[in-house]
Amino acid sequence: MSKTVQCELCPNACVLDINQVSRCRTRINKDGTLYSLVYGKPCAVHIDPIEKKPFSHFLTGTTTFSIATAGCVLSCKFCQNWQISQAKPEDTDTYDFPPDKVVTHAIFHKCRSISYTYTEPTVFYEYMYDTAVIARKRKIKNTIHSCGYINEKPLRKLTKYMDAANIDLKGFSEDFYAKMCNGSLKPVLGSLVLLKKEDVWLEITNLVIPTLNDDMKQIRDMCRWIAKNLGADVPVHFSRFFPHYKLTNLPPTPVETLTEARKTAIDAGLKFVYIGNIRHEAESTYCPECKKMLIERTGYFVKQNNITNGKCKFCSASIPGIWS
Amino acid sequence: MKRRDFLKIFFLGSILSLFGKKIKAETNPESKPKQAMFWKRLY
Repeated sequence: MSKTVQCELCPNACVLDINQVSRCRTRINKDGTLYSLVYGKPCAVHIDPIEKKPFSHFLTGTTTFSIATAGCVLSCKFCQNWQISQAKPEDTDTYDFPPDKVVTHAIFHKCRSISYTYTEPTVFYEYMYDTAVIARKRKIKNTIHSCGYINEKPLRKLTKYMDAANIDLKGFSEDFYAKMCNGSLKPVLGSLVLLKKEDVWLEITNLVIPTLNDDMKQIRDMCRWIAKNLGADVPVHFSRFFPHYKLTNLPPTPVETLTEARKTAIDAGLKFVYIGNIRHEAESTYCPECKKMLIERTGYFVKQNNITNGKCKFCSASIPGIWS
Repeated sequence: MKRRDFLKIFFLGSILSLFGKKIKAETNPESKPKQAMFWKRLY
């Protein structure tokens, strides 16, 4: 009998001979059985404002217990966390943090949620899933910041315990995903639709990179797709690029480009469009009905919140999100 | 230190160690390899 295995977690579908490690660097074939190399061994453990993920319509003003292990299913040339996402687990300093300890620490530090973030949480699926199950039992919410490059079956299983997801929609063409990320767009769009269908609170982040994905026609197409397939209420964050990893030759995204992208998204019908990674008035939330400022943010800090029971304090319009 | 002093301490240490409590190295169950979900064996 063959001892070759195939991983079915993400669309990479790695076929692994004995002792071979997956493309994401976190799964190994040991004598015909696939094992995780990162279970309970995060390389990053932090307490962050939920706004940092970013989530603008989810438990605003709270802190989230954030964990990540090394590894990623993609290899984006512009990765902003490449020191850990593109590293092998054995090359990172790790903590001994089994799932129950993560939840206990989250409660001890008064965090309302646990975030699986920084790198690609799909690579530590088993660790994330076990932690999420315990967290749900102990009334702590779970959030994921992911590239959405995951197969339908594992994602569907995960959605039972995931309260919110922020998915990176890195571009809106197969060409961009193939050349810049070594992946493909189609599975990401499938994940977005599934998360929405399974009633996981969904927000989207688009890192706008000068010359690579800042074409306004493509941004318009992306926003129209979001409005049509996910709904106009889904918050979209246009995030500022800074030169990192293999794209140090490019400048940071000009503020004008981000502002134009935001205008394009609003024109395409989206109601909640944010600009991130830069101090800007579009970090704040505005009521789509009366246009008044609802949540004033500076960086990751909330200065005022005018949403009461999920409604605008000024005109009583319902504001979608999970607020408490 | 002379050779004789070294041997004195060495043998005294060896004898005392026999009376010490033996501690077994524990294995943290969480650090055992975790079998992955979502994979199949190819035939």
